Amino acid sequence: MKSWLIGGGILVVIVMWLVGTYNSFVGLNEDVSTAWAQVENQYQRRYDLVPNLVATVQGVAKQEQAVFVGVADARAKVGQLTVTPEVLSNPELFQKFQAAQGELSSALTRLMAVAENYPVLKSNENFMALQTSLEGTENRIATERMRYNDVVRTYNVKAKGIPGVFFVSLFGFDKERLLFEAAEGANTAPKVEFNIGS
Amino acid sequence: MRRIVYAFAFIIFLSFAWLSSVNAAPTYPAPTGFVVDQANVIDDTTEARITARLSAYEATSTSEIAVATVSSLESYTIEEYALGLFEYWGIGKAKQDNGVLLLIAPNEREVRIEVGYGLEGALTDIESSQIIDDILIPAFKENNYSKGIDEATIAIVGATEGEYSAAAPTYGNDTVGGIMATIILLVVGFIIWVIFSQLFMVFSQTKSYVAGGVVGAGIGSLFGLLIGSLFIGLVLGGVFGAVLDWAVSRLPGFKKFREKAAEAQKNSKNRPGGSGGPWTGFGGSSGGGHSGGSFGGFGGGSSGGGGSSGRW
Repeated sequence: MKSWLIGGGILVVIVMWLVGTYNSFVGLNEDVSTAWAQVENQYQRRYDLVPNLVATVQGVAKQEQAVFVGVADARAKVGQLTVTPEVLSNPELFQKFQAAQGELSSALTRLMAVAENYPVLKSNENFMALQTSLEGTENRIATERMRYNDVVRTYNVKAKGIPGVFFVSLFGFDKERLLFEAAEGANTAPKVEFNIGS
Repeated sequence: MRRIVYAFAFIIFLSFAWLSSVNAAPTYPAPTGFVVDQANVIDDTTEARITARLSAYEATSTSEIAVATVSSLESYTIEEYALGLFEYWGIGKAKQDNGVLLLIAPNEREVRIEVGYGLEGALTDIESSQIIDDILIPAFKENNYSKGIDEATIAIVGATEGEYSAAAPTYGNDTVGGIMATIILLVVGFIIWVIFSQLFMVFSQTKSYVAGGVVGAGIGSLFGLLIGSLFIGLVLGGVFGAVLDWAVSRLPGFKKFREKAAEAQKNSKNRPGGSGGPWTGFGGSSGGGHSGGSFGGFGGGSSGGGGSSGRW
């Protein structure tokens, strides 16, 4: 009776533990996907914002062709990206995604810097609204990227730690998910117009 | 046998040695009310008026608008600080994310309106930016923080009004949900009571405490999974189970219980389908959330970086 109870108890604990760990990996995978979807949403929001912004600036500053071409090219590159979930575990694709978005960030920074030279634009209500939207979008991108990184860090710690590392190979979960590099900083992109210290 | 249990416990312990990641974060002021004037730039009458306004607004709309003035951003950007503070306080209801934070850093001369996910449609970045440019900054330039913040909260209330209301969701959540939860609790409680009384009958007949410990650990792990930490559940359940088993098997206070259980076991050999023991079971409840004073704390909403910032 006693040894039966002990054996059964241990078996129950082991099974519970296996199921629990498996489920926590499933949950973490979902968390990563959700966080990634939010990042993508905000990038999409920026992508949709660009044509309006360019058109507004172009109406005042026609001669700045190089900047407009730069933005258009960068946007086209972002548009060509195929974003499938596998991007998250393929370093090469992830790098490509980041590079294209980073290029659009810097093209937009240049555009906003150029716009600063046109006082007419700065008092244009439409432009001001677009500028605010762009700032807001860049800040949302930064926020969602940070949240994504937090979730991925949790996943990676679990997938590389002791029970997780066996699970990952046993059940075919990703060995690690990829992080955004902090340095690229979409966060800082639209802030050229601020003079620090006043 | 004991060695196996020890070895097993050791393996479990090893496998749960995980890394803890510590993120550097600013020291945020405590959420003591709808208005937290750490930098002390709002006069007391205005502060009381704003608090009354925001608290009344929360009562009718469930939307939570918080005002914070901080003496230092601790070299974080105002966006980072606002997001961190928003998350730390959990402004807005958890499911609706209907919170707004008006953050003022007078020493850095920066201001931000941080809008929760659920109010991004009602209070757009552009509207936030207009509130900052047209109301807050002109007043701040005259050093009249009270006036600017007072009027800004009116504008924020005006922009978010009608987006959420207190009546409908509260009824659904509190009344129907409460009845359902009570029924479920009763049913679960009954099942647990039946299982436990059976288990204790068995345990009271064994002289040792190992079986109780192992079963306790198993049940503890189950609860541990629910609360998110298998390890804590396992250890607490194991210790608790072992102590209880030891108590019912050895302590003189349980002598009657043991005799009754022995008799019941003898009887059950003749007719299957046991009867419940004298054990009444146990239950508990735990409450969470902030507390302090009359302010009940914020609802746990979150923000996705919406809103707008400005400097003067």
